Amino acid sequence: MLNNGLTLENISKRFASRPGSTTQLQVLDNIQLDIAPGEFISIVGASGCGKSTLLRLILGLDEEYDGRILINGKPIAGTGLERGIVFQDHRLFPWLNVEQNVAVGLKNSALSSAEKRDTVREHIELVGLQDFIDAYPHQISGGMAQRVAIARGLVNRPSVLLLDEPLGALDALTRARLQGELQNIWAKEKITMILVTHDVDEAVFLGDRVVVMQPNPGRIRRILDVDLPRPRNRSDSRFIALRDDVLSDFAELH
Amino acid sequence: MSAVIAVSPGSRRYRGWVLPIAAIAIWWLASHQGWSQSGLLVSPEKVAVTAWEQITSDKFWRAICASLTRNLSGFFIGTSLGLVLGCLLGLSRHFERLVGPSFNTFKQISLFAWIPLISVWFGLGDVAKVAFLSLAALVPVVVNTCDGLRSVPPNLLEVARVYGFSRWQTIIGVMLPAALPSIFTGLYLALVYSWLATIGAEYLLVSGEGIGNTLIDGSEHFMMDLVLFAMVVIGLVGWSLNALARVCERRMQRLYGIAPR
Repeated sequence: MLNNGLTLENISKRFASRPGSTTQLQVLDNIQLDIAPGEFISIVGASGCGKSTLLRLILGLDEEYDGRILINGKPIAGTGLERGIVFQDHRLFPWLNVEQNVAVGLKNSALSSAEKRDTVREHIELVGLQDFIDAYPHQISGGMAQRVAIARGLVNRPSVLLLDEPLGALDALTRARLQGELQNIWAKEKITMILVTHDVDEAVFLGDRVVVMQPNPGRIRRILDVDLPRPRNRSDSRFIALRDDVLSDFAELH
Repeated sequence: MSAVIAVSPGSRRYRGWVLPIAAIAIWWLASHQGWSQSGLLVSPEKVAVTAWEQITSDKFWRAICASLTRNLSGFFIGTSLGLVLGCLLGLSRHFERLVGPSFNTFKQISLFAWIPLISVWFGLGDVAKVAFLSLAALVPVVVNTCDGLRSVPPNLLEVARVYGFSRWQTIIGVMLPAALPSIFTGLYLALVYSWLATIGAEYLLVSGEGIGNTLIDGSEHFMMDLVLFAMVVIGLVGWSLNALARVCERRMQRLYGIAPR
């Protein structure tokens, strides 16, 4: 077992199928996963396999589950600044501009206000939005808003960044570009990233390992190593072979 | 020659004037052709002369000032109390359970049903009128403030949790700004209602000065010219307050990226 990095130990999660009902729906069943520091993990699965639920548990938004989640050997308690998140919807505050939205991430950090300002600027530059620092969310495109959300997720320098289908709502071109940028940011910041996606191509393009999940109950079907040099080439035969391998899992399931 | 008349955007803008101008023209004709012998049909010129007399008199300006002062005092008292009550109802489940049902019953009572009680408690003077106006402004502010705070998107509240916001930081940094458009709708309605209630209060709690009293004077002395003038003034003040509120609302909506209605 790893003592630093992120460890998921026997994670199970049940929901009451209806409020007040005693019959329970098993959403996650005995999830086991060790994630090394700095690793990029992609989690793919059909909808309903519990992959987003798993991310919420790691984030600490939902604390009712069985099993343990450890970061650097310590169990998590609630949300924490060492875990950042980028949601599918950007969730920027509409009344704040780009700079202020990124600064939301640092609201409770111990940095001085000058340090906060510099860190915010630095992260806005990291996602290439230095010219839009004063813009409000409704004035920028969906792709730009998602970059702001990425900057906000990174600004605390978390040890783990969780990505919940962050590019799912974007058009194909913007999406491909942001996948490239995400990979560069990961390489530069050297932090652990966990990406939940239903896009197999994206999962293989970004992940060191691809965790394939299956529903009813949500569990890990298998874990594939993606042993390809970065940046990855989507037309490389090995890339295609891996992608088709993962896709074959889905073909069987349907 | 073509019978079709091209309508330029400029002329379209003035189309709204057609009906009032036609109405005044018919009115003028009616009073000049002697269609009615009633003394209650005054001519437009008579109204214009009265209007001029009024505008140049101190009495009229005192009345307008009295009405506006009353209106704004009631508006400020009512909205201040309304904001406090609305925030408490919207933020505290406990307070909501305790006070919510009573407030919901209270707001069903028609505003004018309060007049007898208010006149017994506060008399017919300014205190009574301002109390009545405050009540008119209070209800929409409470309802909209509370609704706004309750319907803050849960997604944004999760963001606050992720970044470890305290309860206080969440209220100040997320809930209040998210509820602001709704709170503003409450203030806007309060401004409109309190002007309507100003005239109502002056009309029903008769004493002192005010534009509502000018209206009563006119009606008691069968001076239709004065009545019509007072009506126009009441309409113009209402329109101005409305326009002022809309300008503020638009600015805020632009900031929030909401398309103006």
